[in-house]
Amino acid sequence: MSQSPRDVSQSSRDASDGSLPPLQPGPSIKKRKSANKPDIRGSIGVFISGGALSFVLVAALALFALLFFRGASAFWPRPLTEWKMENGQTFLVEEFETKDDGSIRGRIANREYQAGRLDFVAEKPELIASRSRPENAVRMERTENGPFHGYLLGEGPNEEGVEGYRVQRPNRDELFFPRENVLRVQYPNQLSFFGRVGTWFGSVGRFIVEVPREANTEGGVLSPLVGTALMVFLMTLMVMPFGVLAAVYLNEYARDSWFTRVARVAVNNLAGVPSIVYGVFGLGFLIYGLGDSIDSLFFGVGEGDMPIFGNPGLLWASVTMALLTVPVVVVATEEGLRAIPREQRDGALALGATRWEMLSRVILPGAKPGILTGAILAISRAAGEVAPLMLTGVVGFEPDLPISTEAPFLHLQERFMHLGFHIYAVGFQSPNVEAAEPLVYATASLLLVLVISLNLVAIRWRTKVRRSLQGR
Amino acid sequence: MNRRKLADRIAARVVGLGGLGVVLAVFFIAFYLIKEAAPLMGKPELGADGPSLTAPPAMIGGAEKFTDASWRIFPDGRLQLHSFRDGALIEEVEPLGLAEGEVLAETKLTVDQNALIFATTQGRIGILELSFLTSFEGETANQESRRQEFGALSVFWFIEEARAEVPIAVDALYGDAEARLNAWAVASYADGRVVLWRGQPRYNALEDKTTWRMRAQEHQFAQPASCVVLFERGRFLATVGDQVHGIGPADKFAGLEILGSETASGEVVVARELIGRGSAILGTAEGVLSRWLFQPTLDDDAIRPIALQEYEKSVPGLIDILPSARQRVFLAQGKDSVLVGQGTAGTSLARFELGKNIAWMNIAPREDYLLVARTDESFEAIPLNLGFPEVTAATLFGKLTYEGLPEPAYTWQSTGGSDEYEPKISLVPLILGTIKGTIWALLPSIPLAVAGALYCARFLRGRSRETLKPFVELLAGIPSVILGFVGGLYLAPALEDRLLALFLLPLVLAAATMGMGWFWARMPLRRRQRLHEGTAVYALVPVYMVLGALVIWLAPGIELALFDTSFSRWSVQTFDIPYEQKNAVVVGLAMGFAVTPLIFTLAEDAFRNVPQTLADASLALGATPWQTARRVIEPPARPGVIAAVMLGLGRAVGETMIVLMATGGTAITEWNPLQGFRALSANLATELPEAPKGDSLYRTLFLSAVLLFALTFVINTLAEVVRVRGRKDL
Repeated sequence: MSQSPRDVSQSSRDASDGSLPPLQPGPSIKKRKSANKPDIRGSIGVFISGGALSFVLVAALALFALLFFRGASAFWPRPLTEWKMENGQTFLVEEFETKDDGSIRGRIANREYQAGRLDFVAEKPELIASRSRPENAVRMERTENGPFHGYLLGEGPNEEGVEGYRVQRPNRDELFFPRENVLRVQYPNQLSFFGRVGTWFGSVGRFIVEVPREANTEGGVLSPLVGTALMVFLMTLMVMPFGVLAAVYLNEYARDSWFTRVARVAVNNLAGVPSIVYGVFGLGFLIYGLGDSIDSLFFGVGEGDMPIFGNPGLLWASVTMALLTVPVVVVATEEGLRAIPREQRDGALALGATRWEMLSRVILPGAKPGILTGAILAISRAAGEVAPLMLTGVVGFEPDLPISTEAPFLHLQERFMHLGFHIYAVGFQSPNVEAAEPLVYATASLLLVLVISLNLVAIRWRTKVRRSLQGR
Repeated sequence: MNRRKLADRIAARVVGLGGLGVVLAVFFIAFYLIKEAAPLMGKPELGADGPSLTAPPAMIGGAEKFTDASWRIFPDGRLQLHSFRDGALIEEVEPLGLAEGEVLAETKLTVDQNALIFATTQGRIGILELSFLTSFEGETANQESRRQEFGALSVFWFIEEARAEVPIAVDALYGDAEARLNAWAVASYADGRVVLWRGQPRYNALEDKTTWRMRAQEHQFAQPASCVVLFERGRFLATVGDQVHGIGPADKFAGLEILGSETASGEVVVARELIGRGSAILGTAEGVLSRWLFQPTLDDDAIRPIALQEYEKSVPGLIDILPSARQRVFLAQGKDSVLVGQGTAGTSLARFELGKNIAWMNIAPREDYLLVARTDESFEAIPLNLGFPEVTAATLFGKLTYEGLPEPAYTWQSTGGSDEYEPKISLVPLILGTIKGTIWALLPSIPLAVAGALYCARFLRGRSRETLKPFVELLAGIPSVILGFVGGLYLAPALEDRLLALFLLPLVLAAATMGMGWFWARMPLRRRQRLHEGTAVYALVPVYMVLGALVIWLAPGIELALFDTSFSRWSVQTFDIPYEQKNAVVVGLAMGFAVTPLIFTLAEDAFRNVPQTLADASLALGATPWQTARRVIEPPARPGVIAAVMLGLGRAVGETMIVLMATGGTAITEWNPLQGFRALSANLATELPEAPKGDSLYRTLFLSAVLLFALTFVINTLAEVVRVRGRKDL
């Protein structure tokens, strides 16, 4: 039985030689099941292989569900519960979940008043004497120290004439927050369901249009979003001409020689080179090599001075990403070029067009779907790739955008934030991971939606290319 | 017409250049990485045309850190500073204040070259602190205007009164009075005694003065000890003949005790400590050099001298060993040659011939010059390029005994707090980490992807296939940072509480699948034909959802019921295997999401490319669909599938973010899947931004990038070869 794999190809090859192998019943024929008997082994085999696919689907769905559910629930306005503890303390808690050991986990906020600035608690229910939902409980989003949970006593100026809010922590002294420090006031316990939905949409919107605050534990993702977009934009500007040129060269100009074969293998291999290796190249050659040279040639930056382009930054990250995505563009463009039938080329040339005219008026327009597929695949790859950026220009917290109204408007030498790195930085390097975790799920969902939709478009276009390839 | 032709020609040029440029860029990346790593292989070299001057050789000397000027000390205690620029004498001082007729008997420069330990013919022992003042002449501060002179030259005396006995070897360690550290000195005498002094500072706040209390303990050997080398806390090595004794002060400084003895390969004549804590190089009368450790760290019971490697090359007529002030490198000065040796792996790196009549030599503090004083009063600073002596094949791939570690190990720990830290740059744990991560990523991925691909290519029909294949392809686009984040922050803690699910889930799901397969086979033929095999995947999805959720939800409870605690904790207690929350299994699960779609897509193409006629013939001959798939479709597709698996392998080898986020990142050489690891790729991401450009760590990291590049290059090329062969066979 185990020999059968070779038998098939062997016999077919022998047959093509013209000398037929001696006829004998193969093992499969001898053991063939009668049609009446159920083929249990075969059926189990089909189900096991189908199960593998089902498992992949279920796992993928579980992953999406986890990310989207947690990401979405980060913005859901949960009610505030007043905990009167057995030891006499009182907290206003935004309850999250009941853990396996029965304790309730929630956020007590008011970070600046908590020991160790920890604004999350997990308490056993038996330590909580009573829980209630006071109607007038208020949650304030502030510019510093995260949210505030308490009661609003009044609005107006204090003794020094500063406009602001008089508030009270549960069972504590009165406090005063200047208006400029308070971003939003919310009564979560008074919200109806639709009120909550509305608040949720508002929060999602703010998440996208606000810059991060407080070391990424609060605020939105505008800076990483803009940083990613700028990097990808610059990368596309660089990679598309070169990628298309390379593909056109390999497919239209170069003759089939050992050189083109080596070149193709090289481009294919380039696609398999680990992304971090590109980062190493970017840091060594672009930043420490080119960047330092630019600094000393054009900016007169000497030894020991602060480098300008000799530092990781937006420009070098884009160039590195462009290198990384070259094979993606080349492969997709080549596919597009190959999909154009030979007759079109011959026709164009026969009508007296030069090669360039044939290329620019017939081939390239025809290869457009392939080229666009390449562009989109490159963009989605660059948007999701993080490792090379860690070496070439990404930074964990820099709310100022690399684009501004001041000359030179686009700050190519500056470090930038990136959605993917944002996930790493907030989830793994944040001073307050618990506060930031919901935001990481939200960021991850956003990145996933972006990348997946780009890929969907690319796949659709590629199917189009492949259809015309098969159709000819 | 002309314009058209011109445009055509220009276009051809541009396309050719652009295309060639891109192709060359590939080779340039590889070339550049190798170029950056290549200097690691370089040997130490001597240059030519260094500064020189004429001055009496004196006893010993050196240079200040810029090598603008050279200092030397004479037996009568005179200290001179000469400029290299014009050879002129800058300054002459007498900081020691020696008595009439008293001359220096023994001198030894500390490893950092900031102090000179000395003993006089009147038996006095002290430390002279050397310091230099750098000033600039005129407005501009550059090399030309830089001037050197002696700074404060203070002397700390261990024995200030004259006595009859003159030591044959001394060593001392001078603590910082401000930090109230002890000062230690050790001397060996001709009658076989070794004496250890301990000076304790007493700070008087009222007078703002520190007084020192000196106490001595001694040990008697049968023969005089030829060399003494002092380490921290008063522990020292004393060599008597071929015996190397490790000696330390007893508790409360009540006497000395021998901590351990070891036999060297011959009579020890020179012994020097290297920078760091506990490394020493010993040289015998035959010129055989060996590396030793005397470790005052970790397990205090086990402190003893440990003989490590012997150097391949010997130094005939060994005179002195000169340690570098910056790294674990030394020069062994012989009668007419100098050997450059390396102190972490015990490798001899190069030998220089320097001619005869050498009075003394020294390494400049910045290791940029070799200073050679000759008896004919000529003195030269020979440009020295040590290269990267701490990076050798032995330090990169060898199992070594490092300072402060009890036994030989493959260790990666590239940087420590101080200059004294011994860089541990073995790539072995990183390579093993990469392999471990790859194995655990491929373990679940290969069967899932290949079986799923076979099903997708051969049992799915029409719309199902056109929907499901792109869907799985889409999964390949999930950014790895998301998978790493889910692995590190969700899977890792979740798995710790329900490790059992890892074993239960495959069992339960396999049983359910087989059960459904059996049930399917029993169904009447007509119904099977109507439903056909392509629906199995849909039937199984809800089953897997329910069963999977059930197992994951119940697992912690089952663990509690069976083991009284979580399975992970129970196995730690019972089998004593360490468990880390972020371990290789978590990486494998997270990386499975990245690798499975890749293998799936390529394997599906391979199965799909097998001509339908083969399958038709097989089915027509009465084989069942499964028999056809296994015996007719699978064999010719096998090369393509193998290529797909290899490309998946390449992806797993280079994956960075998942490994970075879902493992603890400790560089260990354990295969235990329940512990973490550190891979080459993640190591690059974390360490390269911190590595100073051009230094040995930077280049070592480039070397590991070359390794990664080469590894994936080989894997990908092999995959391509296999694939092309397979296609030819078809």
